[in-house]
Amino acid sequence: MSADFLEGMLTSNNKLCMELAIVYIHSAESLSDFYVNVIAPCLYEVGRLWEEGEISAAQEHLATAIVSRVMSVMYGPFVLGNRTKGKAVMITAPGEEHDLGARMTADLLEMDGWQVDYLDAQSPIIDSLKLLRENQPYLLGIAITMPFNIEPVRRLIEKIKKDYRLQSIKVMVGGQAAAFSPQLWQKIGADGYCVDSQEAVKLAAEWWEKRSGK
Amino acid sequence: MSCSIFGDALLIPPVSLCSVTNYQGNMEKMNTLVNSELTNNPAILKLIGYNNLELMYENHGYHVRFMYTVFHLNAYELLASVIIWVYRSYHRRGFSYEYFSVELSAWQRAASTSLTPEAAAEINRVYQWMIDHHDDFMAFAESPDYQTIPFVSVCTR
Repeated sequence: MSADFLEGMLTSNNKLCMELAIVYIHSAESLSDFYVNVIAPCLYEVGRLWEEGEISAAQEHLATAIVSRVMSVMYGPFVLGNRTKGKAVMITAPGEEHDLGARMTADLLEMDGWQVDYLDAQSPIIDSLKLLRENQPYLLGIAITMPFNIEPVRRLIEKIKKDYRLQSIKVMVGGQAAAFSPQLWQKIGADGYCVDSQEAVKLAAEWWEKRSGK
Repeated sequence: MSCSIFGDALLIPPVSLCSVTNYQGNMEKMNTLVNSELTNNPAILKLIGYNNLELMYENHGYHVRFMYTVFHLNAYELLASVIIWVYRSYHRRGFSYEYFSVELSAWQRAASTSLTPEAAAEINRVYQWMIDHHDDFMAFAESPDYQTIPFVSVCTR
């Protein structure tokens, strides 16, 4: 399945990718499984191919655009379950162009019972802070892919932790840039780090359970 | 090849807040100086693998932003890890490894020209560490074990 989906991504074959997704996904569980076991490995492979110079940036963007379309179509019917957990906000690092990891995590959190807002990288920090003050989420997840986008995330977390209205928000970071160094998440002031979307959902649930005293 | 550069990176002395602030205030100026020096290098097209100069300018813009993070957080393990990734990614796009030697030396000169003597000394110590480990970075970038660069823990909390 992954190999076929990857081929569809790399040949701009949106129809093939959509057909594969339709065959695979028939429940919230299979959607989650599709994200984790098909989409994520394919995205890593596309990233690797870009790093190796085997595909251009344009091909990488085309491939990820297909995934974005598939996700937009497929996730809708399966996220309408009960909201058993708190509010969460998922954002991509300011300036970051790679947003699929954050979107995948947002969808998976929603399927796990969180009430999720997703903000893309085009949202200025000041708007993100405003949203956080208005919504008072329990959880904030931030995806950082490129190492040069670490600094705006550090500044954002610093503002959150210094603001008495926001400082109780649990902040987790993930993404390639955060994976470059195991101590980075602590240095930028986050409360936790997750290697992938599935881990993010697990950590969020752990935090929520501890808060609820279960 | 060994993991020594990662341990060695942790021994780099921290850059003082005063010097980091000085660096931050001169990022654009240093970026301009490095762009100018490399653009005027007669061998530049060969160094960047006959890529578009814009790709090089983009790299320099990313570099100065990233280095601010490194200096501010004293994140030298991050530096070691990312620089190998940068070497590998840009080399796969045609940039020669020699380009990085030329570039890093240009950043040193830009720091010396733009920063206070104290800040330049602290910043350039980090650049000298990178220059001294150029061969190690190349070796790591070319290693078949590249994917398993030695970070023991992924997530602790």
